[in-house]
Amino acid sequence: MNDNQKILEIKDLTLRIGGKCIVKNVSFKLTAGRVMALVGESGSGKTLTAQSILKLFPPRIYAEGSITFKGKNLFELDKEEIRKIRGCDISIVPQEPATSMNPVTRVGEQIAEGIRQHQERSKPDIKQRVLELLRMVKLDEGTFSSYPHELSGGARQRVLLAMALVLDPEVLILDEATTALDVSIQKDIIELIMNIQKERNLAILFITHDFSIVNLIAHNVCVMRKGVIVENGTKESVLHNPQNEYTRRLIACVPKLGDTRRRLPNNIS
Amino acid sequence: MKRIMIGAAIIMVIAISAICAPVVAGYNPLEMDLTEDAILQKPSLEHFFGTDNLGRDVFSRMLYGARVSLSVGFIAVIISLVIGVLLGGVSGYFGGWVDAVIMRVVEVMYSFPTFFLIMMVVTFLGPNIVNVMVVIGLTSWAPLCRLVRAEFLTLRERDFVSSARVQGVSNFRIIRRHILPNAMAPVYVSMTLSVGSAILIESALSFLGLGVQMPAPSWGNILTIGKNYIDYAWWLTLFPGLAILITVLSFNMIGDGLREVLDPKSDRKD
Ligand SMILES: Nc1ncnc2c1ncn2[C@@H]1O[C@H](COP(=O)(O)OP(=O)(O)O)[C@@H](O)[C@H]1O
Ligand SMILES: [Mg+2]
Repeated sequence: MNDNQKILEIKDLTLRIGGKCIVKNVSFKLTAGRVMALVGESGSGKTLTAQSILKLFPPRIYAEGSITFKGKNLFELDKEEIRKIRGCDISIVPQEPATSMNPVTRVGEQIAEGIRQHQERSKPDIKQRVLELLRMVKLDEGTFSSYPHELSGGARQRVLLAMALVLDPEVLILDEATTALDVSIQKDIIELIMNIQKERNLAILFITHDFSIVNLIAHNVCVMRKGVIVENGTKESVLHNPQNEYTRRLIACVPKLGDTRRRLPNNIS
Repeated sequence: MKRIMIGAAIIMVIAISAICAPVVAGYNPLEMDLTEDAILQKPSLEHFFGTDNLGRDVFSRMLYGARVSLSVGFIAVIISLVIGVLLGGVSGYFGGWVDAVIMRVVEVMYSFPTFFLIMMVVTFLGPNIVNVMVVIGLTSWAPLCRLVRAEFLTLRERDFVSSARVQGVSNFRIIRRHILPNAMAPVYVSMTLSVGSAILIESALSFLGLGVQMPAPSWGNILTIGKNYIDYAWWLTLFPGLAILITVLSFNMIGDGLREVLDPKSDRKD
């Protein structure tokens, strides 16, 4: 891997709540054009790690370590500076398509929200851009004036993807972005994400607890357990030659890798 | 839905006649006629609601009084809306010590007997309609503030608000575009109900001589005159009383209807 292409580096991230250590010494790098999968059972600290990247962790969390984005340590930025990174340079696609959209606002307006906040652009210009995004995520242009409750789960997830991509970020974080969807729709969305990723040379952090998806999409894999990274390497090395016992157990739970009809149980260990 | 329509229709009729009072009234509400035959006339085709002790046409006085009642109702509620939404929103969204301070103020507002507070303030500032509106507005925002705060508290934890935050949307914009529009349903309900109670307070103040000053008419001060002649001139009490009752009831009907329509638990048509 070419080191000067790395755009986001997490180094020794440690998160504490009330003396309890929830994430411990987590380090990994994201590179343009590559997909990093962060895998682990639920409660292992994946979401908190992802939120830390944009300083979005819940109150009373004490964070240590550094997160470097293109040479800037994000932890040293003040509120306003980090707000300007959110959505513009680094975007997060949330997990729940059903509840992650404003119920009283039209889809087009919601996609435009990022532009309105961060850029000065004319109305037709904004609309143009939103329609472009709807096409990119393979949604009908008529979706522009729909309300979220009129859309299917898959279509909502596409809208959320469009919202995340509207300002052309370089890093995209997907936190269990396909977990809530039916398996067939899940596959479509993953295909879409992979296409967009290649087209735009995105650096992606793909969080999941499902190794079958990892096999589909990832270049590199980090396995996280109880707040600690227990395995970190290329997909091939992690899947075919896992060093850690826990990783082996996770992989063993997927009877036939690539078969997306099966799911991992959440309560291994 | 039916209740909203009926309530709204009644309010519309009252509002339109109040606005068009000079055309509809037929008499100058201030014009006295102290001749023996002219005072305290029973309702007739000439004077629909009779005349008062100074020979003034009660129907005309009530139309002008409707202007007072409705404008006091609306303006007082708008004042309390602005204060309640602003303080409640800040309190619920930011929490912390700001919230603690605002909630203490709200508790103080709650623990005052509001009507006596209003009476005291109006007496102190001088009784006139502007003071009445402002004072009712300034003393009635506490329930609204609590309501808005509760809405904001739950809304700010909702996924779509965090997803706006993830996109770098500023606090101000999150409040204006994402939280406020979702918090308005119960606010509308409470607003319509408060219009009714503001009208009641104004009538009570005018009745006690602390609101609109005679000879300017208001429903409350027509009742004051009516009180002195209640044995004989029943129309001086009945008509303004009914007007207050019907108006307040209509606003309550709209409010209750809205509550039902906007309640997310009842199946709504959206
Ligand atoms: N706001 C919070 N306060 C206290 N503990 C939390 C909070 N958020 C998450 N946690 C704890 O941190 C751990 C990791 O959570 P999370 O990052 O959501 O895990 P994952 O995304 O891997 O399922 C969990 O054990 C959870 O209980
Ligand atoms: Mg999670």
